[in-house]
Amino acid sequence: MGRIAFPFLTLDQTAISPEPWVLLDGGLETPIGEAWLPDWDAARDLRLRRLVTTDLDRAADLLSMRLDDGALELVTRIGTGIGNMPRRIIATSKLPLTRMEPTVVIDEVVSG
Amino acid sequence: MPRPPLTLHSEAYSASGNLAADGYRKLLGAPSIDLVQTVVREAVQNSCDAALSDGGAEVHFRVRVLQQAELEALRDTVLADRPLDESAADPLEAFLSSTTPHVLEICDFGTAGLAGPTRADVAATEDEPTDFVDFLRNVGSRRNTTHGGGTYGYGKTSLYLASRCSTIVIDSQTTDAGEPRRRLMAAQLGSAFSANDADGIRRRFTGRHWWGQRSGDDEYVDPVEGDDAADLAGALGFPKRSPEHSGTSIMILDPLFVEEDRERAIDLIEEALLWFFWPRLLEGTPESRKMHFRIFVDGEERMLPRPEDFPPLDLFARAMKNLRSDPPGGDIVRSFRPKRDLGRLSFARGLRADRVAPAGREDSLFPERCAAIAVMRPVELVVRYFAGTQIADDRFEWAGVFVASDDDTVEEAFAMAEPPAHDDWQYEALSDKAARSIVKIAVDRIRAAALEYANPISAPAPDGDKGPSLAGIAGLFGRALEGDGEGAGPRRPGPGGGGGRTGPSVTRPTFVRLELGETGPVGVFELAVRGEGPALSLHLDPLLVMDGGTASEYSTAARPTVARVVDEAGEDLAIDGPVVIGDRRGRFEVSVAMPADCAVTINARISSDETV
Repeated sequence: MGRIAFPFLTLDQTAISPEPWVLLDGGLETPIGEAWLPDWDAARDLRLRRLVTTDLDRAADLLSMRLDDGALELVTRIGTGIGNMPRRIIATSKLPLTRMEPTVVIDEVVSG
Repeated sequence: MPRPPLTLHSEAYSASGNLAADGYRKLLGAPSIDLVQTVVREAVQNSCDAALSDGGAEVHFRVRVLQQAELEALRDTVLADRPLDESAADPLEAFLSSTTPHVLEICDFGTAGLAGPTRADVAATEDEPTDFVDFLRNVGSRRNTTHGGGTYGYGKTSLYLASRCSTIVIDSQTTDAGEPRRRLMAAQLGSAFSANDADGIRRRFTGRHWWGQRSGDDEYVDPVEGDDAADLAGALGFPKRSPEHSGTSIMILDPLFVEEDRERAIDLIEEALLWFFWPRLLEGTPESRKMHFRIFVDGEERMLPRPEDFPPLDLFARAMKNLRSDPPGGDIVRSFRPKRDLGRLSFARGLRADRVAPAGREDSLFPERCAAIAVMRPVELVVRYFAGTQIADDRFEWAGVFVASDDDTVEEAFAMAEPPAHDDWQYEALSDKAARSIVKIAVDRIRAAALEYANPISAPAPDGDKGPSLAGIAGLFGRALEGDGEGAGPRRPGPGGGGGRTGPSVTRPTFVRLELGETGPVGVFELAVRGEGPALSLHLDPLLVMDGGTASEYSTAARPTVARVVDEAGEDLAIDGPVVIGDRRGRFEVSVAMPADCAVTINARISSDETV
């Protein structure tokens, strides 16, 4: 349980189960926690990947809505700074979440 | 037609005294690096200083066995006349009668050669070089190369020390008074000895010997010059030269480090070249400063790897690239009284890469994991490395580069601090106080940076303030954990002056659910009050959550307010001011009416009713 109340209903890990972010470097996946980028500089492009599995029934329950009342989308925001609210959003992307495809792959390129 | 043998001149002590050859040997001191490295550094620094302005110098290292005809030319022509001192003559004889007479030749091209007069007592004009006498006759002459690699000529002693018979042969294509000259001479640094001279008089000799042509004066011999020199050089197997291919070749006879294991000797040369001269070998080095090294073993070339492909030099190369960028990167190392830039320091780190041979072998100069700063003057020849602290994660390594400022005062201070072997910055011995201060400050900063790079420590404020006390921080942590366990940290005094483990405490509120209230969203939090004690009040403080913190002062946003407090039994408590819970204990639910567009949190603390 967190200490913060958001003014909207949120999903927890019983509805969304993400794997760790991995970095794709030369075709190899490296968990971000262990990644070390040789020759990195701010101009270099980064390719990141993450698997996310959703339980839409549980999500609908948590959001107090019926499953058919709306569509769920996974939004990825790439930005600067630490914290939950990046100071500058560089890119945003959306992926629809459906019952037919419980696991989606986020595949993002962060341009240098 | 057989060539006439050269004349040997053994230096006798003059009435006013001379420096014995043993003294010359000691001049080099006890360099902290091995002899092979000293030889390589000395030779290459000489070549750097002698490089003609357009285009970098090329230096060849050649390890070979003399052919029979070459050995004969050396034995019967160059060194036919042997020193009277047995300790000098015997090792020479042993080498000349060896079946595998090894030599190491260091030959530079695109350099000025050993120019100038051949007599040490002839005063050269200001523009005229004195390389020949400085190299072969004088010791300790100050070089006049602006921002050159070597400042003193003592290091050349290492060339003699590297020879088992302390003997070298020099072949130089150079100029004298603007005219092309070819010069050949041999020299030996033996030990002082006593012997009868040509007139049968017993005399003391310094132990220094030269082989050349008669000068018309018994006090010295001149180098063989012109066609005779070219012919003799050819007979000894020196590289071909012409006035367009000027430079100097130094042949070290019977080199100490080329024993049975010649491969190891080549490795040592290769390592020394890379370890000390990588800044001059990088891709980004301006062509005018670039060095070109080639290594030959019995005529076969051995390729020298690029520093960029030779870990850990790849990291040093990255740090150097940063310093060479425009504007230059890295941090400026400064002195404050007087205010002066002493140089720049740059770092690079990366995954520890596998070593490429010869690095990675036993006794290699290259560490298995690098954590060091290479220091150099603007001439970009590495003086030494300051070892630092390793990164805790052993998969990584780091490298740093410090290049001293090219300001004349600073450059001169560092040059003066270098011992003859150019392998350190020794400020302690400097008599000039300003110069000593410059080098000391820089060295201290470099040492500190080497220790701190892997594990940075917070720097004290410039005014000497030591910063916040750790005890204060520990207390903050303790307060954060208050009531959640039995850890350290001060507790607020409980009712009646209590506050021990059994005193009342409150847990941090946690968010449990969101509800829709009459005026908007309501966040419901849960907290628990535990412990024995008198009647209590609960102080609740709702806060807006900002990025990275909370805010209790609001100007534009609506303020979150406590809407309801319910105890474990479901009883509503009054919320006007501190919530009086009396002797109630257990879980409480706190509902907070919140703005529709902000996140909120809540802090809670308790007090005894008497203290409210």
